[in-house]
Amino acid sequence: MRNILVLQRHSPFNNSKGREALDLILALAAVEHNVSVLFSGDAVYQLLPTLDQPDFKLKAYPRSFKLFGLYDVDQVYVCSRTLTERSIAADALSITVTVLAEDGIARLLNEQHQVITA
Amino acid sequence: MTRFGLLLTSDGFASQSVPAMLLFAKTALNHGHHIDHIFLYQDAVNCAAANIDLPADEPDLSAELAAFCRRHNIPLLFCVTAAEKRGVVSNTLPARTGYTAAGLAEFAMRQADIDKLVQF
Repeated sequence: MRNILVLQRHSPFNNSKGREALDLILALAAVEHNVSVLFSGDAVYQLLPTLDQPDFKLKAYPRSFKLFGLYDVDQVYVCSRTLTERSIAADALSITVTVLAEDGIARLLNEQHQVITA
Repeated sequence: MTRFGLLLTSDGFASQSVPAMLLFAKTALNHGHHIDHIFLYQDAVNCAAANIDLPADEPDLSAELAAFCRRHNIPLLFCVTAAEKRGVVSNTLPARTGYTAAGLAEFAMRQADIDKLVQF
């Protein structure tokens, strides 16, 4: 079992990176790795609630972040500076996350065997 | 000796990722390290397309990567789901010679057997 951090760095609906990173996170967790996820930069927009909009033609995959609990992915982090810069409150996010400042992110990175960037 | 896993996620035709990875892999082997696997995910799965047809003056990096892995007996794996989504492979369209279909689960399991993962 390895400590593996997946870095989510991209906004949700401009490319497939966030969606495919979710698949990867669940696959890593399914084989019992100790998986952490860090949302930074425009990736925090993946954590805003998605509304039911029948005219919106992309899969609202961020709803599947609710599966993190089922897969025992409970180390879900978001960069505090990212939230401040975008005027997003942590309690406005669709799932419960831990907010980390730079020193916390540095410690998190230091604990990992592998880091994968989405 | 370090056991490396290499992860390629960027499009092999849109960036220098494949030549950079090949340079890294050759250098690592020359220094006595081990490459456990190369795994292609996201847009990198385009490298596994069988029908790549390039003009004569453009290097075929995808073929070079396959030849390198064959020469050194390195598993060259691509995520079959990501490839099927992009139409790169299907039931009637096999992958390019040298590229092996795999699942994310295989990638996940291989992470237990390496010391370092390097992503391109």
